[in-house]
Amino acid sequence: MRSSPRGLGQLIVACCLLALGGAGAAVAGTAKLYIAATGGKEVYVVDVASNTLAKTLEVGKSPHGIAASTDGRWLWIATEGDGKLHKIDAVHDVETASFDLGPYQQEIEITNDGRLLYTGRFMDGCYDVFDTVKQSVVARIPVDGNPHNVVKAANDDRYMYLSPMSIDPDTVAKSAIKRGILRDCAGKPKTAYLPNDKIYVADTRTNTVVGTIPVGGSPRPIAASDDGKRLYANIDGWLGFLVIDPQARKVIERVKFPLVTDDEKTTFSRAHGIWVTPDQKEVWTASVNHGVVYAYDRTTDPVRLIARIPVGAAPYWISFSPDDRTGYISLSEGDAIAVIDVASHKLVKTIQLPKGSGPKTTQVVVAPAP
Amino acid sequence: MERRALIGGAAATLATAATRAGAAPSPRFLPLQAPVVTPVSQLETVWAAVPFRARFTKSNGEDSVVPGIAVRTPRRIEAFCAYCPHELCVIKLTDEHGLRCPCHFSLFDPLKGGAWISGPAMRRTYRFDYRVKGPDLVITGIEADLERRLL
Repeated sequence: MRSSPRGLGQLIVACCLLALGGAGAAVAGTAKLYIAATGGKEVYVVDVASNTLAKTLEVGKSPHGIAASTDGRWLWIATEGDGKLHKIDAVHDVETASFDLGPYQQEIEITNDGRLLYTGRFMDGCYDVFDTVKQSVVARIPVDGNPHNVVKAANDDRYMYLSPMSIDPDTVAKSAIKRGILRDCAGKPKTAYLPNDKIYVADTRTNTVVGTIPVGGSPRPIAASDDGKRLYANIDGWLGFLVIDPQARKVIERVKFPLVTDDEKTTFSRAHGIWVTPDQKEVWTASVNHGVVYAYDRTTDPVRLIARIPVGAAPYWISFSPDDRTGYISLSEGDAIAVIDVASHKLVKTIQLPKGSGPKTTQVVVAPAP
Repeated sequence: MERRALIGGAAATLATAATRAGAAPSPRFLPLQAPVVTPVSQLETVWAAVPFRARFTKSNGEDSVVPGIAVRTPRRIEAFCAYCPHELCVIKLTDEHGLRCPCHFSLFDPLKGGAWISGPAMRRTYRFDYRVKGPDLVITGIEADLERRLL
């Protein structure tokens, strides 16, 4: 997903500390930011140490979902435009295999053992479960709406949290159904459409839905705390985010962004992009049309706004370096990545990408040394 | 282009264009709080584009400001609502003369009144009510269907 591999980051830091103390022979890896350039065919690789563009990988049309194995060895990328899943050697940044899963692949997530990968098929009302060892889809999970996002808790992958979004029902009725664009899990054209307003809880042992969490609107990006005790969700129609207790399966707080300027008060925006800092102290989320990222203290109850960070047009996804020092915000409209100093909550740099690249999903991966 | 061809107000011209393209008829519009006036002199060059913002009152009494783009196409002057119908990201006119959403890359055709070409939007751009009056492009209304997306 669009995250830093938080559990992995902590693991690497622990290994480094052991190595410094002479107690082990662990070797720290190389932290790299992978950026899915949805407007093209590329994934850009930024060296986290220097915050400079290091490499460009051409994978396939409209890269969208990114997930990494827990050891940082393998990277998986779903390309929406050609419906493929690409396996990348994250040490050398080369593609080693690709699999045809069908069009409209969206966000992806992988179990901690690297075995099962979950991918949403936007137009098909279905999340596919891809077995990376058998190299085939082993289960399909039907849902309402349009499958888009999926996350797990870094330290507890018993459940995958699926958040299908919804298309405007009026548009669906007038266009998508008539054109036969929407399909079911089996690939048959749908004759009716059910918008989605809940997060699905899928058990990774059975690949079945074991519960749902009503959120009152079309869910968008979601994030989980490492311990799995909290989910944070953007939903359409709510300029802010929800705090969710996944065990109780209920929303426990609805947080609205403070609107400061007249422009913010009168111009529509939507919340998209949310993630938790690796130290688990803050949750960051973005207001797309207003060009602002908000940082909230999640150690308080209720959560407390601690920073408002203007970043320019269309902030979209959020990742963090494993050392907690840097936040990365993809700016889809500006074809750039905003680099934020986490301690000061200040924009320190913008990494410019090629025009039209449309950066969206990002993830920091600590790849093992070659 | 002859002045006559430039007079491409929403009602008559779009109705004709819609008939040709098989598109939807002219929609119902909500009035803007004040007309948005853009000098035609700023749109003399083909594919010149001028962004604007139009303010209207929603049915709940709140103000809403809607971004738009006035474009001189090879055929006429047009005013497009810049909200992508998919998720209301702000679309831009590309160097290739398409209207493109930066969020999910829905693409619309400015030569066909903002008709949907591709992407998840699956409908044309929302429309403004506008006409050329003398030296100005005057925008007076916004498609009513947009309002429910902003409430």
